[in-house]
Amino acid sequence: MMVSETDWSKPQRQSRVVILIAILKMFKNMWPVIVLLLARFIFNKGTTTDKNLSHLLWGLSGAIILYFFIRLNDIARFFFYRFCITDQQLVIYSGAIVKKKTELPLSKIQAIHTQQTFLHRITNTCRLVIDTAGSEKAEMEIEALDIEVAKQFQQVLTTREIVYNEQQVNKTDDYIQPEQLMQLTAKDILKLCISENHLKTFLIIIGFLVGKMQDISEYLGFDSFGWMQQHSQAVNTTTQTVVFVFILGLLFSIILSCIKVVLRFYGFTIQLGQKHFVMKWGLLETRQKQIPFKKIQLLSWRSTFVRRLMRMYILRLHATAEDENKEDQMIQLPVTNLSQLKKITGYYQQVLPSQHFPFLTIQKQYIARGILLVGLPITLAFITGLYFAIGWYTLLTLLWLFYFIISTYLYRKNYKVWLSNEAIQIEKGVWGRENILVNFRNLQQVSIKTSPYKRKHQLADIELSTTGININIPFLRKEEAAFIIDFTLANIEFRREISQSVLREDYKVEK
Amino acid sequence: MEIKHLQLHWEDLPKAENVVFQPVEKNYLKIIYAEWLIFYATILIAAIAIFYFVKDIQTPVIIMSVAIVFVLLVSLTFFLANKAFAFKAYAIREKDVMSRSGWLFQKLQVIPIDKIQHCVVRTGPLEKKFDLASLKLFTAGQQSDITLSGLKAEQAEQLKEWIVSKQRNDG
Repeated sequence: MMVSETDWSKPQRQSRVVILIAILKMFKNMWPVIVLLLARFIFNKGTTTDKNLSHLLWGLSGAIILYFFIRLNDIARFFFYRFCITDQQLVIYSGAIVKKKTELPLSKIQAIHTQQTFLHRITNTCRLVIDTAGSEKAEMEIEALDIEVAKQFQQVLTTREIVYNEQQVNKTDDYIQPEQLMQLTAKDILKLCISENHLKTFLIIIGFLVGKMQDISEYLGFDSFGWMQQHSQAVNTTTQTVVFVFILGLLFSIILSCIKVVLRFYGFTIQLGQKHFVMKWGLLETRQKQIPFKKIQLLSWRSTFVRRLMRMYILRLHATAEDENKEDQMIQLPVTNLSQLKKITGYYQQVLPSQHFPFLTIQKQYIARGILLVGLPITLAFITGLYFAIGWYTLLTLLWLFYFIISTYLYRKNYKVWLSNEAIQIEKGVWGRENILVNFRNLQQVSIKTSPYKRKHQLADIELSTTGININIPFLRKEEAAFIIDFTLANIEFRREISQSVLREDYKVEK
Repeated sequence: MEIKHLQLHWEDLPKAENVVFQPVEKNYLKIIYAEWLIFYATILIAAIAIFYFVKDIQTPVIIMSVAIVFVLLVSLTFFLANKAFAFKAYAIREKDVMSRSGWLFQKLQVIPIDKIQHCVVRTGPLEKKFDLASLKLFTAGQQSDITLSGLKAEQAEQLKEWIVSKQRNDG
C-alpha cells in the first residue's frame, strides 16, 4: 500500500490501533483474576452462601472498574500524544492534564527499534522504540504506527541523524540501505533446535508444573498434590512406567525447545548499516533492532558442549544502558560458523586477541580454594542433613563433590586470557565455552583485589568495569595482574599521545 | 590485506604499583569512630529495650553472653576500622585517580580521568565539624564509581575543579 509522504514538521498522532491495544491489555491482565475468582466460587460451591457470591461479584466488579480507570491513561494517551521532527530535534507532546513537551536532539538518538506483536501484524502496524545515549530506559515509545508510516519515520530519523552527525565533521553522505550480513536458513534453525539444552527445558517444565499446582491449591482451595498422589497409587508403578514417563517428558521438552527456537529465531537476519547493525527476528512477534557500533560495550559468545561440536555460538552484543538481567533487552544472535562470528565481531574489534597473542591463565590454587571454600562445606552440610533422612545413602553426595572437583579442574584448565594492543579476551567454561571480548576504550574502571591467602601466594584478582557489567579474572599471578592493569590503563589513557595517527588507522584493513 | 598494529612495551608503561599514595586526613578516623559509635549505640538501646520488655530473657547467663558478644563485636569493629583507616589512601596521577581500601581484603581502584562523567563534593555534619569532605567520582558504569573520603574540604573542592578543568582541556 502506498502512503503519501508525511509532513514530519507537523505534530503526528499514533495509529488508532493504540486504543484497541490498550483495551486488549486490560483484558489480558484481568482475565486470570476473573477466572480464578470464578473457579474458586465453583469449586467451593457447596460451602458458599448467596452472601458470599454477592460479595464476590461486588468485589470483582469494583476491581475491574478500578483497573479500568487506572488503564484509562493508556487510551487517553492516544488523544494527547503527538510527535514531530524539527531541524535538529524530535519533539514529543504528551499528557492530558499536565502537558509535557520533550525535546530530543537527533544527535543523541542511538537506535530505533521496531516490534510487531500478532495484533500489530493483523492491523499492519508496529511499535517503535527510540533509544538515546545514557538513558536507562527507552526515551520514546510509539505503541502503534502504520507500518509504512513507521518505515518513513525510521528512515527520516536515521537519515537526519546521520546527516546531522556528519555535518559536525563537514561530511554529507546520503543514507545507505543496509547490506545483508547473515541470514538463518532452515538447516541452521534445525541445528539450533537439536543443540538446545533440552534437559534444562525439561527441568523448567517440571518447576513450572510444580509452581502451577501450588497456585491451584492456593487459589482454588483444591489439594492438587493429594489428588495426584491418590491417582498415582491407582497406577501400577514399575521401572518401565517410570522410564516411559521420563522419555515422554523429555520428548515433550524437545518439542517445546524446538517451538521456542523457531518462534524466536525464525527469519533471523543481520544487516549492516552505515554505523549500526540491523537485526530482525521472530515468527509470531517480529522484532527489529538497530544497534550503533559505538553503543556496543562488549561482546560475548557462548556455546554448550553440543554447540561446540557443531561450531555454533550464541553471540551477545552488550549495549550501553542495557539491563543485564532482562532477557527481552538482550541482543543475542545465533551464529552458525566461525567465519560469521569473526565477521560480526570484526565491526567491534577487527582482530581477536586470541588469533595472534599467547594466553595467560589462572593459577592452580583456584582449584584448592574452590574445593576448600565451596565444595567441601556444601558436601559436608548435605551429608549431615541427608543422613537423618536417608541414612548412609547420604554418602552418595560424595559423587557431587567428585563432579565439583572435576569441573573446577576443567574450568581452571580452560580459563584463558588474551591481551592485544586494543582489547582483552577471556575464554572460560567447563564443558561448553564462553568468550568475552572487551575493547579497552569501553572500560570505565579497573581494580586489583587481594586477600591474605592471595598475598601469601603472590596472587591477585582483577576486575574490569564497563558501563553494564564487571568482568572478574581471578587467581592471576601478582605480576600478571599488575601488567594487565598497567597495560589497560596505558591503552585507555595514552591512546592519543602514543600515536594519534597510527591509532586513527589501527586495525584498519587496507584492501 | 595489511593490518596495522600498535606496539606497546611493558617496560615503558607507567606502573600503578610504583605510585606513592597519599593517606587520608587523620581526623577522618574520628568520623569513622563516631559513625560506628552511633550505630552501636542504637543497637545497644534496642537491646536494652528488648531485655527490659521481654521477661523470659532476663537471666544473668543470657545478659552476660549478649554483653560479651556485644563488647567483642565493638572491639573487633574498631580494630578493623583502625586497620582499614591506616591502609586507606588515594593518589592522583596525570591521567587517572587511584583509591586504595580494605585491610585483610585489599582493593585498588583506578578510574581514568577521561571516564569521569561528573564529580560531587559531599560534606556531612560530622565532616563539617572537622573541615573534611568526600569527593565522589561518577562514571558511566553502574558499579564503577569511586568515593575519596577523608579529604580536607578545600582539597576536595580543588581536586574537583582540577578534574573538571583537565577534562575540559583534554577535550
